[in-house]
Amino acid sequence: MENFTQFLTVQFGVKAFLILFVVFYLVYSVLIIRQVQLMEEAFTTKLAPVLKFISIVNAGVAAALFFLTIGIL
Amino acid sequence: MPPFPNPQTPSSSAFVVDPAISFETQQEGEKAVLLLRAHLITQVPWILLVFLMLFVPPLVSAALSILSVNVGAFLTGRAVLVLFLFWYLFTFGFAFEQFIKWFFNIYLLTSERIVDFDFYGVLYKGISDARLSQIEDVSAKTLGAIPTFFNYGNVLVQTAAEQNEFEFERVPDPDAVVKIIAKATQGEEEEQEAKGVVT
Repeated sequence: MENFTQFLTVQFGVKAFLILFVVFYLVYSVLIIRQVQLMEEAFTTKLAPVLKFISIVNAGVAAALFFLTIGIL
Repeated sequence: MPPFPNPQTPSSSAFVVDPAISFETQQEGEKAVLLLRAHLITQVPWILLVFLMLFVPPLVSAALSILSVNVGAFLTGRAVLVLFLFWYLFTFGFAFEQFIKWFFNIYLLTSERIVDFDFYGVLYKGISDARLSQIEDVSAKTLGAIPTFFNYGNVLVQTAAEQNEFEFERVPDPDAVVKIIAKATQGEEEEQEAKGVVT
């Protein structure tokens, strides 16, 4: 029983920690998308659309990880 | 190293003559002459850090094995997987942010003016400029063994504009940059004189 309580506590702690950080990361990745958009408007190069695409994929992966954390932990 | 690299250098490099770019405040007929970023060698510390971060999960696993810590006793396999994914996503995010900070922090010399694009952190964007006719003095400064070896340094441009000092930090070949700016300024002065404009 003691082991189970310890297991539950650590599991809960890890899940809470991961959800919190993934949420922060998700917000941060959305800000990065916005920043890349703003900088692309300020200064346009051939590489800018690629960077924008990468920033969107980054946010998408963060969102997927958020749902994965909620779903499988 | 030649002072004027091939004009075909991609605009993602740190020293680009005649870059194929456009920018927000570009005026009609204004042409980008020189694009500068911090020298690539100045990006090595964060690249090394990212490289080390990639090895953190296997190193932690190995360390826990050596210390005979049974992770399975308090973390499920799924939790370990999510932790690994999170770590690599965080590493990627860190690397990407460092790259775009380098990529968008540029100094631009155009046929009309110098423009300084600043991008610090996530929420700060700043653009300042000065007309070539307002440039009063341009000087280069290379300090230290590594900057001397890799030929990069700071270029200080003093102007009579609202922002009276522009510092192009850690740019490649600062002496060539000074020459190019001086040449552009001289050309602008001659153009103004030909038009009969007193500055």
